Amino acid sequence: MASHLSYGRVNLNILREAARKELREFLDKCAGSKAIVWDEYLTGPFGLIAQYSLLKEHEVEKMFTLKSGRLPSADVKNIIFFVRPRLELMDIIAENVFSEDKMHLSRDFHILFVPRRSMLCEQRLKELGVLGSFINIDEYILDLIPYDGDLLSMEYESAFRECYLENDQTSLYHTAKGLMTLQALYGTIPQIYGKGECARHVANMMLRMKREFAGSQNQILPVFDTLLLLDRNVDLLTPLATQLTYEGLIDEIYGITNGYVKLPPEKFAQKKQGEASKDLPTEPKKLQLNSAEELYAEIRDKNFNAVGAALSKKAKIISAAFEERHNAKTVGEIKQFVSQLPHMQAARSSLANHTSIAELIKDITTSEAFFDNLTVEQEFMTGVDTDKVNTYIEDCIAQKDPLIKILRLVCMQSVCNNGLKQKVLDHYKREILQTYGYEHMLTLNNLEKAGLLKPQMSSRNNYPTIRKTLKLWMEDANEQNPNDISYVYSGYAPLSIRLTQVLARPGWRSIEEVLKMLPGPHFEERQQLPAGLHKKRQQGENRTTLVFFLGGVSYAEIAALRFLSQMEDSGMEYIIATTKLLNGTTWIKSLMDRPESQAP
Amino acid sequence: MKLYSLSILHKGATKANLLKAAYDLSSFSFFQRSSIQEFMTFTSALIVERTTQGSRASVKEQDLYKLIKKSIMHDDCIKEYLCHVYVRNDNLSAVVIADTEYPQRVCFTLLDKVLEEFSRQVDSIDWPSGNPETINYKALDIHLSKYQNPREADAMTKVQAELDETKIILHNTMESLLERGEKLDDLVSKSEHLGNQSKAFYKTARKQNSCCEIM
Repeated sequence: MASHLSYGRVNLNILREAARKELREFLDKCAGSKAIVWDEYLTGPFGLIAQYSLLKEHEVEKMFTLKSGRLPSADVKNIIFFVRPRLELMDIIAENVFSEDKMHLSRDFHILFVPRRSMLCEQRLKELGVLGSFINIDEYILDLIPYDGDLLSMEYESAFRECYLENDQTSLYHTAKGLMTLQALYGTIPQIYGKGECARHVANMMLRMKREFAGSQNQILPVFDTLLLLDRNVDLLTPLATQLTYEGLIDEIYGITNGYVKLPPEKFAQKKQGEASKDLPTEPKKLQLNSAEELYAEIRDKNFNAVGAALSKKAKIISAAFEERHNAKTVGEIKQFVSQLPHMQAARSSLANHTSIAELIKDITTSEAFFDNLTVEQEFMTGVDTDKVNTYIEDCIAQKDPLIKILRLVCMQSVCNNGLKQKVLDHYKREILQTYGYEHMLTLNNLEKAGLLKPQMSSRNNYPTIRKTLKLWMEDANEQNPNDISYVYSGYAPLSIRLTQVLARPGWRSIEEVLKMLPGPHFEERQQLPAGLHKKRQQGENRTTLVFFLGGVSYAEIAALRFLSQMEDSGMEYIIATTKLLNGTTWIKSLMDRPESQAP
Repeated sequence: MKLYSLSILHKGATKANLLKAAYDLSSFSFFQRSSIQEFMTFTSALIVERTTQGSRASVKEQDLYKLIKKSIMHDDCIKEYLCHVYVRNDNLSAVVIADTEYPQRVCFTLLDKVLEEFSRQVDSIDWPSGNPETINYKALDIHLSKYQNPREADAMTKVQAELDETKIILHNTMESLLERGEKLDDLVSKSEHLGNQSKAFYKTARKQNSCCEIM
């Protein structure tokens, strides 16, 4: 039971339990001792659903990574392959199976496709002559994985790329399927809003799938009042900007994968009294980050400049609690103190970890490079000189700063200017290709196709209008005690979140004009609820909206939505779902191509 | 720690009447014992006379001793004694003379116990006029010798002593447990340092609205 999933308004543990149950059922189908051969990519997401202990309960004795060549020896009756439906993996599986035959061991083979079976893959196996060796071939439909009490992700890295570069709508189909699963567990969602082409497709698929299931009516009382589907390309600007929340910065600098972060170990070495710091650990320190950790839940969504004060306050509270031990005189009091001890030790350890992390981040955020970068970002966001070649960017290219940093900045300028003047664009492209290599031509093409770095079509730049109407730039953003979502970027309110905010109150009709300036249609759909399931709203009860970002979402946007949820008069609570948790760096990376590599 | 004498008296209107006494003078030299015993008898009576009905007291005997400081004993025999007295509401009293180490609470427990037993065994009519020869109460010597070791004799002392020991061990264990891990003081100062000198992220844009925006 993952306790951090039950905190929120919606108990996401139900989803997790459903996923675990399916896994158990499959494992039990393959009776006897088992070894699982893992597609490495799946181990992360699976870790959020089931730990090894659950697998052990179902006689899983060994686990291996999928590798070509021979299978490692294991004294088990069943070998199960957990793989994505990808052709290259089928080849490896075939190799493994053939190597087995030589050993004359009678073992049963099974395949579990995650998230879907694929005719193509099964055909490949048939061609390789191994299809008959498998006893059970099943699919494990793992779409939306709960990451926290209010956060679901499909961890579908290539969703944005597939939709906007390759015109491949597979991810949208999976999204629709995932939403159907969600509705099966949490009730039909009566209202669907959306903005964007992909959103429209997903909604259409959902409605069609609902019709196909017309016979069985869902009798569950709906938990979600509204679903909001948003295309990533409605707001291309936000992921490009450097996030300024605590969690956002951890992701930007170190990368959070599947709820874990790997950090340089030096700061986390236990310093004993008087010992020199020899034997520094060389393994990076791995920490789990979710709302089960009290301190982290408190500070994760704060602007980083407010984190120091929060940690300081916490340190004093914990310190005072520890001092209480001197007041414990009677045995009863001592006993009470001791019973609190584990909690206090955990709090102290948590505090130590986050103080170290905050120090690491501070080293970076106080650097000149960081500030210079932020300055240029903010200049673009406020519309300053977006039509000229930016000298800071030129300098960075000349110094051969990391390419992705450059790409983020030029894309941002392009988005804020609704495309760059041809001369400016050509200048940047030339500089980039000459400095970093001509192989990046492919990447630049991709970025243009995605709308991130493109020439100006019309002379009209809508961005300032959008910015003014939706109040995307708030002067004097209060970082310590924010009163507006713009605190997550210290002044810039994420466009996607602003749209969400306006939808709740006063509604999208008030911004019709602006919506038309953003790509893709906007729409509203209603789904019929069976009679008697209409929720009677109590006075003061909040409504629940599921916001689904098609193409990815950043932690800063998540923080902004959480901020909206806890605002006094919002009357709304948000659950966030997405195809992928991303930041500017991972997002651009997914769009990069090199000539010799295959498409990911 | 040692008990030297245990006596039961009746507090009369003007005088205290010794009813029974037990002595353990093994720590004194042979030749001094009789005078010490006399001295202790005298002191016990004096104390009872001076203590009000229905009260307990512990008197540091040094003061009293100074009053009677004739050369009964040599200087090197001078020790510090405590006299613990309990005068009941019915004027039945008991005095125990112990050294300063002996725990006070145990003494009073002893006095309570002895008086209760005595009052059950000996008729109150005999109290005002009785003396050690006539009074039929044999347990005093036994009590005195038993209580020489307060821990054994008194269950509560034993438990309390163990408790105190345990508390000390607990405290020490807690301290050493809390030693491990990051020092809290370090964390307090580190986090304060983090809170300070944090330059705001906004208003870094130096050029604002420097060019007209053509709509």
